[in-house]
Amino acid sequence: MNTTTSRFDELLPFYVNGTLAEGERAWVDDYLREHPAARAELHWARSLQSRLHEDVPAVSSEVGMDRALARIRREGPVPHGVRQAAQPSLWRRLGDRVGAWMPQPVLRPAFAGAVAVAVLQAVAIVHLLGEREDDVEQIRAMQASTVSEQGPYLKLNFKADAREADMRLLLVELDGTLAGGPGQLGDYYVRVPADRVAALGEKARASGIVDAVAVVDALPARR
Amino acid sequence: MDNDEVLRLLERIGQRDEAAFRELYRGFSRRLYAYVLRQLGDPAQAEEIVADSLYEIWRAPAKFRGDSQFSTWLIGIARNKVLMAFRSRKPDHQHEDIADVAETIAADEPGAFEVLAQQQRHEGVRHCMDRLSDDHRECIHLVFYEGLSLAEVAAVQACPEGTVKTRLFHARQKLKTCLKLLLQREGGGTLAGAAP
Repeated sequence: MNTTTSRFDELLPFYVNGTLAEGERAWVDDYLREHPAARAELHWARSLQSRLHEDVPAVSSEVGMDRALARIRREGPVPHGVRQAAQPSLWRRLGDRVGAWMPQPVLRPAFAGAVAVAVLQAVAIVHLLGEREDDVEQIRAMQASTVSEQGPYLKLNFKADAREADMRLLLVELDGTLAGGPGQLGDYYVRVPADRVAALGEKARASGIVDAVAVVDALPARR
Repeated sequence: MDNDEVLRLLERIGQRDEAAFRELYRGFSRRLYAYVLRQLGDPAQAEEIVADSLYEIWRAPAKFRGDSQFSTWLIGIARNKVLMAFRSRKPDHQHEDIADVAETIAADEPGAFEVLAQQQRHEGVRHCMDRLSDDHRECIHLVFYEGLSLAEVAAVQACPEGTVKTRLFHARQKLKTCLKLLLQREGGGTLAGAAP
């Protein structure tokens, strides 16, 4: 292939898609005039362009939009005063939030089993408490003496695409225990050793699944 | 939708305006879907990547500063997700390259181009596009479907312009060869599933 033919070959695709500079376009026009056989190559390239445009399935312009909007709504509330499009129902938002917290599909039966066991245990405890009022007082006293709400806490906001397994792993790495959350704004309160709170905050910030970290002295007041 | 209109929408998206996001989404989703589907061949995965790519715009609309065409920039986001999908694919999902077939069959026969141009149908083109390597297929799509310039293709593919030229040359040769073989297989007539 000589230099002229090679140049024609390089420029042709961009001649067909209309992105050549004026000078290059003129060069290709001249080449086509001088080499009538090259017009077949031009014809083929234009045919290819047409076929590629025909070969795209006709999909709605909203393809995948529901998925994107669901992720947006999981992000959290829109700032006050900003114009909003129609919001989904409370049930749908609740469903989206629960869906986001569900583990991988393969683990869902185990997750459902764990929830069922927890519910049964709660029912049994309530039943026993109702029968033995004296014991209730003891239990309340024990809670007061063993559960401390003394800070400091790390207040964490996880990214929308953070997975539950990664969050659990981060808790272990922080040597922390979950003390509260998620709140309405998605805040989680993690109790960590007081002497390492600054370092552990940095570690959480660098984890890749956390959007924001703050050190707070106490849990928010319960309503 | 030109860049000025896109920038106006992005400004509204920055204020968490969902209506602006929907408008932008509708303006670019089809082209993006065409690109991802061409690369992956899986409609469900293509839909997922389109949604995830445009969600990135919602998260950080200010990242686009108007230095390039928005559609080109958006393809860059989707491309990263496509590459991730390629990495997670099993080997049997990888596209078969047709490098082992001689590349000059079509070129050395007088009138071969005319025959191919007249008789190739989009089913045949799709069949042969699927047999190109990922880079070659992407290159052909960006030039002939998206209408990108040489510099834009090089930017999207993160390679020198010379590499784009080489990819385009070989991709076109392979396509011609593949289409020629299809025609021969069909008795020199039409491609499978195509009208004469």
